[in-house]
Amino acid sequence: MEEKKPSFLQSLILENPVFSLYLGICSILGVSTSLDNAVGMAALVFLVLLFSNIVVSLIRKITPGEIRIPVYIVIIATLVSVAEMFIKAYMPSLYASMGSFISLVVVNCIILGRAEACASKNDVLTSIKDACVMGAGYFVAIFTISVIRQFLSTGGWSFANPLTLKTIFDIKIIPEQFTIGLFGKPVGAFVTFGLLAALFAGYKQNHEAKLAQAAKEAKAAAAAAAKEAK
Amino acid sequence: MRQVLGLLGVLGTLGSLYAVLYYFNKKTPEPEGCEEIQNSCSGCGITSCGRHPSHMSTEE
Amino acid sequence: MGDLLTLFLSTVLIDNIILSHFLGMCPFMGVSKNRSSALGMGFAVLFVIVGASLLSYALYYLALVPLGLEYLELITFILVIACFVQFTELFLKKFIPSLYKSLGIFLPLITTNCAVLYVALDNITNSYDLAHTIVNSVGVSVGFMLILYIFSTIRERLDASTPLKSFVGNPLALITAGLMALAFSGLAGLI
Repeated sequence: MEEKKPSFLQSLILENPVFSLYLGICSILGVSTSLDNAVGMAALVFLVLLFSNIVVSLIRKITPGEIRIPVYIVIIATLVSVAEMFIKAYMPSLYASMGSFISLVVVNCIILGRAEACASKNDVLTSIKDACVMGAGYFVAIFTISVIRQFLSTGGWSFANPLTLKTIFDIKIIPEQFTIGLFGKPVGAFVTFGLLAALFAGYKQNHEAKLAQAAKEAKAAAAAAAKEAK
Repeated sequence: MRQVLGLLGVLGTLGSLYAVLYYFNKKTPEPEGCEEIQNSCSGCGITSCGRHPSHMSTEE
Repeated sequence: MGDLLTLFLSTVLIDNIILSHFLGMCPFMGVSKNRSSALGMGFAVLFVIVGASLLSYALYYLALVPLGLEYLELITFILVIACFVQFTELFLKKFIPSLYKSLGIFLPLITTNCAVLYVALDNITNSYDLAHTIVNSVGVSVGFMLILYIFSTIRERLDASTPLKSFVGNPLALITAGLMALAFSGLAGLI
């Protein structure tokens, strides 16, 4: 009985690190107020995840099993320190709006979790692939939430190039009086995230129910075929 | 020069302090009645936690 | 004195670390299933945050600044936190086994908790002196414990109810947290 492997899009939804495993929630809730922040944070997390996966995968043979976690933490901390200095120098607007969340990428559960679960046991290419999948999942999550939140709290979307501060687009759809300011506040973050999490969980349960149904039918068919062969 | 020495000194001290403390921590046996603690944690998806069930099978 | 009291009230009620800053969410979702574990987690976090932030404060001003190594603060603070957690486990195992029995399980989880690192960094970013550092750390942990405890009591009731299948567990917990955030934001006029 073969199992259909989920496609890339499907696995993005079913095994999304944010909505299925609930990792890295702190940064998502705090940073998703606008598209600039979301894209910046997603890029930061993806790059740190990629490089930490590569480095951890390269040194996995020489780290003793016991002190794995502190070693990984120091590697990630170094990467994040470098990234933070880079952002502070070249993208000050992003630094001002994301604030302390940049440093807190160090203890982001996704990066440590992936270093622990995948990069420490597989070779470099698999780790890179894993980092890309997880990074894409994180980007989908934070992008969706910030699209919804920015639309409802400011009435439109705006995106500016962080390096040159030139606005790329600035769309306003809902007029000022009808925007729901609450979505820019913590309440909005929690509620949007909760509703989207329920949506993803519903899709996952649907998918699993379908798989279970298919497995049951295959089993029944196999049993019937075996009975006929007798 | 002073900065490089300072860097190595600080990181080296902290690293070796961690190693020493970890060693002693590993050596001290847990008080009685604490065997269940390790098993009662069902894990919450935070794999970086030292007590996650996934660590116990890989420990040698 | 009034300054310190304002700081304490704002970190506990208004600028709460979970409901306002969204930090410490991982244990918030994982450990809040019942009241006793919430209290245990809260006390462990209190101890680690106060201890680790005092140690990192001392390290920053006594070692990093004189040597001109401020850029190392992220790496050194994380190492300090890891060392402190190991030390706490060691200390509890040897001298207070009963406390180890109730709190010991949560200690490794706190090493990678966002809240601890945030407090350590925040004390430096805001250039607090020693008194403000202590009040900030204690306030943040008390706020964490308060919200965690309240949430665990709500969650005990939620687990006994039967919502829509896709809302069971974490999604409903998140929406509840949002409502709590709304409620607590009403206290902003306190100071």
